[in-house]
Amino acid sequence: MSVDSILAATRFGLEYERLRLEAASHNIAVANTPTAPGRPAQLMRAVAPQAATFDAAIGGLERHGHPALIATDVAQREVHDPSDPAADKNGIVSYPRVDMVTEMSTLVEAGRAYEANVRAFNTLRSMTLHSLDIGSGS
Amino acid sequence: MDLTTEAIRLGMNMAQLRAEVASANIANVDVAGYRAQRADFGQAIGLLREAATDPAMATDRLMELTPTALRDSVSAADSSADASASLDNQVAELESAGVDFQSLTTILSRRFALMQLAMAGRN
Repeated sequence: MSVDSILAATRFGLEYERLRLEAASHNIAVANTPTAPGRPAQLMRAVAPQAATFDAAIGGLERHGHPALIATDVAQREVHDPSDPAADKNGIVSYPRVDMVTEMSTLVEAGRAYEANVRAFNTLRSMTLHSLDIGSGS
Repeated sequence: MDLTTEAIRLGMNMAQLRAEVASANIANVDVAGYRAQRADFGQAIGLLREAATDPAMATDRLMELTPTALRDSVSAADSSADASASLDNQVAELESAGVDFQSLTTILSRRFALMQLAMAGRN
């Protein structure tokens, strides 16, 4: 276990929280965009690799996987609006069903977790630099 | 120079190169189609690991890995998965390279202080 690997674990956290933030922003952005007729509605979701525990990040010097954004099929919200050019032959326009409460709370939560990771990184960094002063007499 | 000093020198060169690569990536982070640069330290890490286990290793082998030779290992990422450089990741990389460099310079100056003490007999 080296200091570098603790920093790597914190950086993994930063990347994951940034992707969650991106996914939530994307989902809010497409909430009122109609999906093409006959295609499933898709929303973004951030996923972490299976073995991405804190212990694995600390103990393994080898590079573990990165978190990634994946598109998942979700339920659709159907609105009857024949005047919309995106409507199908029955006049139904479908939108992805976005839960605004979940997305907004994810947005805030990921932002806060990102800040916490930055704070942890800075604390670890200053601890490392302070440890260099051990025994220097001043 | 002795093996430890050479190993520290190589480590400092590696930290410096990591900082340079991160700086280049930060400078180009908004350029469309930019492929992030990566440094491959496979050879250097192998040598350092060997130096850690075998104290009788020839220092010439560490000295052969000059900063120029290290710089040749820098290449643009080819897999599209990690070709894009994200700003926060690169800044974190720059910071950890800085911490590494600072630790190694402190250790090196402590070593030189010990050598000076040995020569002068007092501090």
